[in-house]
Amino acid sequence: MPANWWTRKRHYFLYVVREFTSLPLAIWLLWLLYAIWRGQRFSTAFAIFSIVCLPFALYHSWTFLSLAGTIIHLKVLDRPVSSRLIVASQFAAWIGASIVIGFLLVWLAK
Amino acid sequence: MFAQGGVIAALLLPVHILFQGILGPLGFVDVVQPDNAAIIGNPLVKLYLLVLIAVPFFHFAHRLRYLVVDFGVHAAKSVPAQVVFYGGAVLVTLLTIYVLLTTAPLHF
Repeated sequence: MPANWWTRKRHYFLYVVREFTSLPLAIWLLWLLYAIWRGQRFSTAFAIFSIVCLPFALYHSWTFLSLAGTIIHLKVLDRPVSSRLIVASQFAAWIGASIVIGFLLVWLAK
Repeated sequence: MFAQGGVIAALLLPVHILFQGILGPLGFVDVVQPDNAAIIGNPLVKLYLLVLIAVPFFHFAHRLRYLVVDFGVHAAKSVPAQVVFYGGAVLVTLLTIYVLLTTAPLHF
């Protein structure tokens, strides 16, 4: 297989990007761990890297939560739950968790 | 464990990156910072940080290993490669536990 297989189709390219999002997110978490270890406030360099990371994080969340509709098969009262409902519940959980955590991150800083 | 890591990364990471990575450091809002020993010392926060930081690495290890395979490196399917990738995730977990236990003493 030629090494550039993933550049030939948009679908393949997006797949590679999705898998690659792991790398910046892993580095971001290690940076967070380093900041905790040093007990230092977040730096400007961290902010710049975060701006780069946020689109990758959002893309990972979007694709991962969308996949749940394909992977999860639930039955309620013997009837299968539609995959759209499962995806919608995943996104609702994401939005809910984000609001709660965002609130806590600001509120606990006071 | 591998899927959980994906779920945790998907649900929790964007908001942390947005608030602690961007809005906080750039001065838009005041957010929890790593020098806040009162918060970091809370056992519940430490437990949360362990899950937030360590668990996604099992998912990342899995994905990156298969990405390497897909780029034609068949050696990444081998047992030693699995040891390297998943061992790396275990290493990060141990490192996270070490950092959380040695910084900001526990208080309730």
